[in-house]
Amino acid sequence: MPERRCGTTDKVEVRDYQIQIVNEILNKFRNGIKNVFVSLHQGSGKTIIALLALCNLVNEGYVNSVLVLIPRKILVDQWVDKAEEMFYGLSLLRNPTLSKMKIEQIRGWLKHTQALGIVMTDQSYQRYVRKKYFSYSDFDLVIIDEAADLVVARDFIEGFRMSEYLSGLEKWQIRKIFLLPYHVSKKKIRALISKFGKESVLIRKIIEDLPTFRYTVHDPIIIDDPIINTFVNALDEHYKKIKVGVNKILTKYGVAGYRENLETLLNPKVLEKLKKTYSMDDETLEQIKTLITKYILIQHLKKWFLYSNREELSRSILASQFQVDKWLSSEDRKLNKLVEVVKDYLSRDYKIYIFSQYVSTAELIESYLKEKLTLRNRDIVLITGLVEDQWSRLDAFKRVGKILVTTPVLDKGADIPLRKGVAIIFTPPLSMEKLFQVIGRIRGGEIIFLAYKGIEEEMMNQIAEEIRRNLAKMS
Amino acid sequence: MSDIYGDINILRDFVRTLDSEEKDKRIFIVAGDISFTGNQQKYNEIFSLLSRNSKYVLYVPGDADIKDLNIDLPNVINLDRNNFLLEISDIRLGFLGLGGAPKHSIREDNILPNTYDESIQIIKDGILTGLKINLEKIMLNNPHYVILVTHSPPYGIADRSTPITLKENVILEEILLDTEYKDEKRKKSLVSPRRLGSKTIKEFVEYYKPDIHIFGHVHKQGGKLIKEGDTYFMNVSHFSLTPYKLTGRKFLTIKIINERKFEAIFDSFVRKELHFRDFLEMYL
Repeated sequence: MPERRCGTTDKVEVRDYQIQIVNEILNKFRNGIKNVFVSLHQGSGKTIIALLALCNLVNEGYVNSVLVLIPRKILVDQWVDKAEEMFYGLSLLRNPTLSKMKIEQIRGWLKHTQALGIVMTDQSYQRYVRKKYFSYSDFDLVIIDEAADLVVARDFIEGFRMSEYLSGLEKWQIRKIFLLPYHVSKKKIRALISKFGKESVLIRKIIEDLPTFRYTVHDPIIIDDPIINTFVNALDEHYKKIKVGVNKILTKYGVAGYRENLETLLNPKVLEKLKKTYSMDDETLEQIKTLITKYILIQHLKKWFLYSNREELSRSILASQFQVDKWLSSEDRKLNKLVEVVKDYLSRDYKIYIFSQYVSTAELIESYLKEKLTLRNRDIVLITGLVEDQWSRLDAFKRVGKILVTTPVLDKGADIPLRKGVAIIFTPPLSMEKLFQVIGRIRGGEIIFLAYKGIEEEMMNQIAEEIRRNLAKMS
Repeated sequence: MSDIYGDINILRDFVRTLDSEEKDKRIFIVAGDISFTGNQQKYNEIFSLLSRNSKYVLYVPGDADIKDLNIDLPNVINLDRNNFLLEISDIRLGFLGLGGAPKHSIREDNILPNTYDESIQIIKDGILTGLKINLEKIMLNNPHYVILVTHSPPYGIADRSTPITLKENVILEEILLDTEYKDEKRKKSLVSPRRLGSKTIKEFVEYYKPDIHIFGHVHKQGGKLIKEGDTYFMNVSHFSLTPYKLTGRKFLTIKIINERKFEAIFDSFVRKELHFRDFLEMYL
């Protein structure tokens, strides 16, 4: 019987269903399966399940070295801390940065500290593997957290990045555990499994005895600013015109597909294919590229207006147009409404979590709230991809902060438990899947959307309704 | 203005918007990347147009320009590693400048003629000494304003290569690279957002505190006016439509009001009176 090298501490209470899933994972591995996909609801303890499975494999002598891949830097700390707090014998090295540490030093550290493995971001993995510093032979197991973006789906850009960062992982013939939230679509899961081949299996479960989180989804708070609709309508018109233009070209050449993700047409490989298969000439291809670049640009411009991205707008030529100039020089009604809402919740002693898609909007929100509500520095915490000390800031918010303003940097995995809290979605994320990730961070509480009267109002109403439906299904 | 990239048509459009009666009160300051190396005729066209419409044209070459760019026009002054004192209505303006850009701010596959490697101590010291000497020279005339003109921003101020116009465009640039090229170095230089400014210039402004620092180079931070300490930092990029149509056509007007007071306003030369819908049609 191999020596027992690791186990749980008294900080973790393992639930029956978690043991059951761990046993399932181990059985799959014993039966020769290489890739196990685990898709569970938020709050079901996917990380604990992965750590328990790892612990068992270590004790059975199957794993001496593990690689854990995480999409965001901030989650690396969370993972390592959780492992150290809840388990003994699972010491992990956190995200070594190549610019700060030589590879020999990293290997030295691994040996010296007797760490069981490394937890790193997907981006770091790309750098290490491309430089051939590590390969599959260095590890016995890979755990991939928040693995849904390994295949490109609706959110083309994010999906592309993630899948690109981890490209080549499908060729690693070692055991892998993929952790996915439950709300990932079946289509996406099928695509994931087919990417990783026949030796893959899915464990997807609804856990009955999960602690339920109570959410109250409020009707969107409506802001009346008619000029916004003028801008958005004009941009929409332009957008549709371009879309029709591209579709016309595709139809003319008999090209099926690509219509859902027109951005794909910017990929040189796709353009090459269009040239060869459909005999498209260079001029037409150039025309497609120009149209799609504009198409993407317009999507963004629309969001700049809707999401108070005034900083970027004011540095674009649009700022000179008389209506935009007037709008930029007036107070932002959406921000003013946010101030009202925040003030109200602060007076009722709530902790507030504000989500914004853009860094510059998040920065604007932080400074605006600070100014209008005369907040102290410790009251409001800003976490974006541009700040280095994300983990420390999150910790400060948990302990002393009142308001947290974040961007998608916190949309995956990070725990933001609010005892009495409200999530204000200042700008919705790019897809419902992402929105669920954002909401899932707060483990219960109130949810508020802000929307301009008109086009955005309709969309936000639909989103709120969809969330209510899904939350009801979950509970 | 900066980063014209030889776009003479845009420049003509711009000059047409100016009041010709004011030309004797006007000084053009061009913070580099005026055209591309080797095309002297283009430089001549650009500078003669600017020269005809102003009292003085002060410039520094950018990384894309000829290093020893000299223009044979009496009111056109090269400020690169040089200084110039100007007195208008009893207000003395002391200019000094530095052309080119630090090597680390340029993509590694780009072979541009006017870069300096400030990681080499002797080069850094040389640049710094040059700036100090030029500052001392203009200080002999006790200027009311000390104006530093460089192509590169100082490190850490309006120099971050984060996207300004379109996040997706930058990401798409990555996609194109991912699929088109597999050169690790080239990709690395493009993917990671980073600070592109010069540490040497930063050291200079930190200790010698010019009143105004005008620069270009980092297009994505163009249009930023930041006050740090006593210095106003102004990233005036970019004038041409390359690489971002949406942020081009930009310039900064600094109006000197008196010995202690000035106004700085960013603007774009577009038809501002157009309705939003028509504006989109025309400029996107």
